[in-house]
Amino acid sequence: MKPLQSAYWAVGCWLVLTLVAYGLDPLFRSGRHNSMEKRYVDQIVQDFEIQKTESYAALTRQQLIDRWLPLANNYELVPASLTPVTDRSPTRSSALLDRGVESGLRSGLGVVSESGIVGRIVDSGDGWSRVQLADDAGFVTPFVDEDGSRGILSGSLFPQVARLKMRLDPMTFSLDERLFTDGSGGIFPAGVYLGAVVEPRTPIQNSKILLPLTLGLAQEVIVFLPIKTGSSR
Amino acid sequence: MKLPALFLLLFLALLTSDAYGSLLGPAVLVADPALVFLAWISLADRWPRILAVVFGLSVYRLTGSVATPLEVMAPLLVVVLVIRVIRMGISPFDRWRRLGIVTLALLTAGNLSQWLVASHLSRGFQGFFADGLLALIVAAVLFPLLDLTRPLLKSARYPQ
Repeated sequence: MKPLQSAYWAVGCWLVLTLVAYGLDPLFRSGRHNSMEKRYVDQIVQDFEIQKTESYAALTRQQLIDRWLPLANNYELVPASLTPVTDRSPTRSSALLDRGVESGLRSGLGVVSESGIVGRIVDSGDGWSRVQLADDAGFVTPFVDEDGSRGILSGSLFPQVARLKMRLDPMTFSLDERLFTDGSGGIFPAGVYLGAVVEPRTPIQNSKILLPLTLGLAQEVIVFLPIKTGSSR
Repeated sequence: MKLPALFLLLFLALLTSDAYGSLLGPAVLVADPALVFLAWISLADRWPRILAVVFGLSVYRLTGSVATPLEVMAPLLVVVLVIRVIRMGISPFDRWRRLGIVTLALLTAGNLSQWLVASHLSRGFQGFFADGLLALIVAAVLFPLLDLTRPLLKSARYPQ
């Protein structure tokens, strides 16, 4: 085989290995219906899903506002839809919102879902915002535990897992201890659920904290927009 | 310069990085296939092509990410610089020695990257050696494949 042929073979094999990793096998199993049938079925499924999603989103937005309104005295609540994306930097974790500067969203605002924390907006444009998820290694937020002890939590290099960044006292966690935001920093109000300690370890920095399981899923979320002094809600 | 072929290989490296990123987990800091490709190019190729790969990788990683420019650029530059410095003393054409050079460069870049993103998340000596082993394995798997593609980059000087 000529060297150039070998080169093209190598590129082909490399591409195949990559595609295998993406898990494309479901595509090869389809093909029992003709294209007209498939298009018809896809259309029906899409229409049904759109109707269901729209009614569900409206319901969830109202439920979300009702849930977070008692906590958010100094914040305006902006509902949005979160779409998970694969961050192009392999160690980072992010998602996109369907609202941006036109709704007053800007860098630094906190995002929560029905289950608790989601992350923080890092960039905004017209009709979009990029959210740094709470399990991103660069995410940091102050917390308070059930006994009132404070500390600083950070994301980690693993999905849906957070680590302790700093705490002065006590230097142990108990199993299933729940952590909440303490309201400092002006990003989140106090009382937003952050996560639970699933593996308390010594030293305490090695403890594993599990963030809300719906963290990176497509869902309705609320953005906390701080109310400027002197303006009405 | 065979830039279309170079960008085809870069595209494949990025695709591999994306596909195997979740499988590698935190070890992707040192065993990122895109970084391994940059290391392979840096071993024996010319500066314009090395810079073209650094530019391509940087642009791809900076758009659509929460990562900062420093965090993206620094590991790439470290890989290039470490390899170019070491190759002045050790031959990059020897199959075994070049794996050593690349592993060292990847470990340096990975640890710098981790320090820049979250210095408190260090994984200790065990993690360091496990990362080194994984970087060696990924480089050892990818390098023969990349060597086969060298006729596409006709001006490059690779081991025969």
